[in-house]
Amino acid sequence: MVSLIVGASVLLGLTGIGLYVYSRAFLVREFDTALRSKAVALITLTEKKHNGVELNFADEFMPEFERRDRPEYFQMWLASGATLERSRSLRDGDLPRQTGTVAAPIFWDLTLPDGRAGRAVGIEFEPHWDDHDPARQPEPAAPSGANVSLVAARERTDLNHALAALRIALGLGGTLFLGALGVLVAVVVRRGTAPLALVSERAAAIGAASLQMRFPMDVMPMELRPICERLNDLLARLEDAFQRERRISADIAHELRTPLAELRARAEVALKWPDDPAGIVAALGQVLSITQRMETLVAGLLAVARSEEGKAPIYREPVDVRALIQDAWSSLAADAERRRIQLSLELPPEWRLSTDAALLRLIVLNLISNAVEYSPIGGQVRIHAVANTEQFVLSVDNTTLDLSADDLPRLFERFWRKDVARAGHRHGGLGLTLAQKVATVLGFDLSAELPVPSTVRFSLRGPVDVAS
Amino acid sequence: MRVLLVEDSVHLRESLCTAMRRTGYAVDATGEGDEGLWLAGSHPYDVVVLDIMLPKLDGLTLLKRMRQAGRSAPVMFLTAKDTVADRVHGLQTGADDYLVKPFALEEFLARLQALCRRGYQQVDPCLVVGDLEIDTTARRVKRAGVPVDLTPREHRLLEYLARRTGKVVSRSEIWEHVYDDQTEPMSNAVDSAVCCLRKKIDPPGLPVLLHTRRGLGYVLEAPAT
Repeated sequence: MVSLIVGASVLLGLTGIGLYVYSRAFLVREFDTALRSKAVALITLTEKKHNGVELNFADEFMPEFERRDRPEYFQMWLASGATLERSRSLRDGDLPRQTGTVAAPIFWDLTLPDGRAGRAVGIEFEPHWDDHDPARQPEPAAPSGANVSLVAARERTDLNHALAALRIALGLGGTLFLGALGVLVAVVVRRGTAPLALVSERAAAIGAASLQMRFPMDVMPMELRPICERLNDLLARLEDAFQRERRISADIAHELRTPLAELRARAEVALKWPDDPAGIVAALGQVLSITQRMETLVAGLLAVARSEEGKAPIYREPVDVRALIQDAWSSLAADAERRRIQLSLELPPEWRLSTDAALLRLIVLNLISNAVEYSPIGGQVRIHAVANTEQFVLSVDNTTLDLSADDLPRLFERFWRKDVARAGHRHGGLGLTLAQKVATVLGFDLSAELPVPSTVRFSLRGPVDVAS
Repeated sequence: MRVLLVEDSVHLRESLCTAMRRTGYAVDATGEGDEGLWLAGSHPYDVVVLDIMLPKLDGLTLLKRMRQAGRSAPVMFLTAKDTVADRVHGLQTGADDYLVKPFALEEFLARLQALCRRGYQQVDPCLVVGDLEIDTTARRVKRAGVPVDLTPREHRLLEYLARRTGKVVSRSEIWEHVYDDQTEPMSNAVDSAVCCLRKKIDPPGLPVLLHTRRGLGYVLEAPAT
């Protein structure tokens, strides 16, 4: 704002000065033209005669040289330096003698004999012959040198007044303008920055606990709206992320509460009734198995977090997928047998992928163990794959009793279960989340569908990058 | 005192059952909501302990249905849900107590006992019948100042009779409140248990407190002075 005022002052000052200089030059030129006309009139009245030079001055035509009040002045000199004629107003005084030519007269400022400020013109000219003079000679080709000097002067008070008035007008106008500009700028700037102040006030109030706040769009001027829109978008994204993180923290706390309660109860019962050695040994075994479950939960959470951050390292190598799937199945076969689950395995005879074996095993293990765990007792698990030269689809189907199409997108959410709780949930609702994250990291796609209402199918799709 | 425990975590269920039985409660336990509702409807439990997240039928619904069926046994929720809103919702649904996992075993047992007392409108954890004193908290019994050693089941039986002092308690009521489903039903189980208890609390030379009302049941009362 200050710089705006300073800039405007400088600009306005320069403009004022320019305007003054131009107007002054114009007024002085007008003044000089009038002065010169008067001098030319005197020159016209000057005639060369056989007996010398004569000025046919008539007072009645030029009373300004005669009057007592504010008179004008002139003086003519012969080439010899003697005064040919002087205005009556001069009395016996002299004007300074200083001359230019008719074409380029000299003008200068001076103090008039009566003390007023004045301006004078000085012209040296060759008087013309009196037409009636018998001694008239033809005009010589070159000036004869018998020249007369004329200096005419008049007061320039009016000009000075006009210039002073101009200066005052410019100065006053400029000052008023600057003052008005200052006020206007202050008002405009204040009004213009009010939304900015609002934005900064709002921004200062935003914290992790108040991410639901938004910048008001309706009170914002057009220029600020895009910024506020971006800021609001940013806040919305942050709020989402924060809510997700909070929910995850709450989920984790919730998931850990049950195993912690189990551990505590086991330990406290064993301590309270130490008279049963077999019971204590059993309790220790159970404590171990609960701890292992908690470890799996924590490891799964870490793996999900790392894969979300993109920090899971990938080591690609040729992988025999068929062997990998059979291996994964055999590690879960005991569980499957206990739940009387029938397995069918339909895989291409030769199937290799160039990918990270450990991560692919993690996906496959989670898919199969999910299928085994969530299919009802006596249900079916079918693992089948098709692979052509470009891409492959590995599907794991299992029987389901209670899934609907609405549940499918939620299957991959952390800790989601169809039932609010299930007995013996080993996964803690993380297996599918992890499998999907890892699939994305490997450049695969993992999705779920219900080909028939009683079967849920998880399909892993990806490009075939056959290793040599 | 007979307790129903509905908790889907096998480990927690087993630990709590052990703790409650060894403290002297009769316990029926299940891991599924619908079975829990069926059990709650089939026996007059003194206290029902419910997990909220249960397969098949969640604890809140179970409680609502139980109350609709006219079962007024005090209910304690055990849950991993710990927000104030969850607790308030649980209590508003009709629960009498709310315990967030993980919890201290002692606190669980103390709250359980408090709920048992509430069921019989008793405030004092000490029951006194004549010169018989029963400290239900410390599980200690004295007759005329002499400590009496009782098994958990005998203690349970005595506590049940003492809570209903002066009232005739039928054999079937004793069966319902003192024994759980793990006991093999025997026609004379209650009679022989009462007989054993009487030997311990009514030693020769002292006035008899535990009387038999033939054809009706038993009554524990102080001798008329």
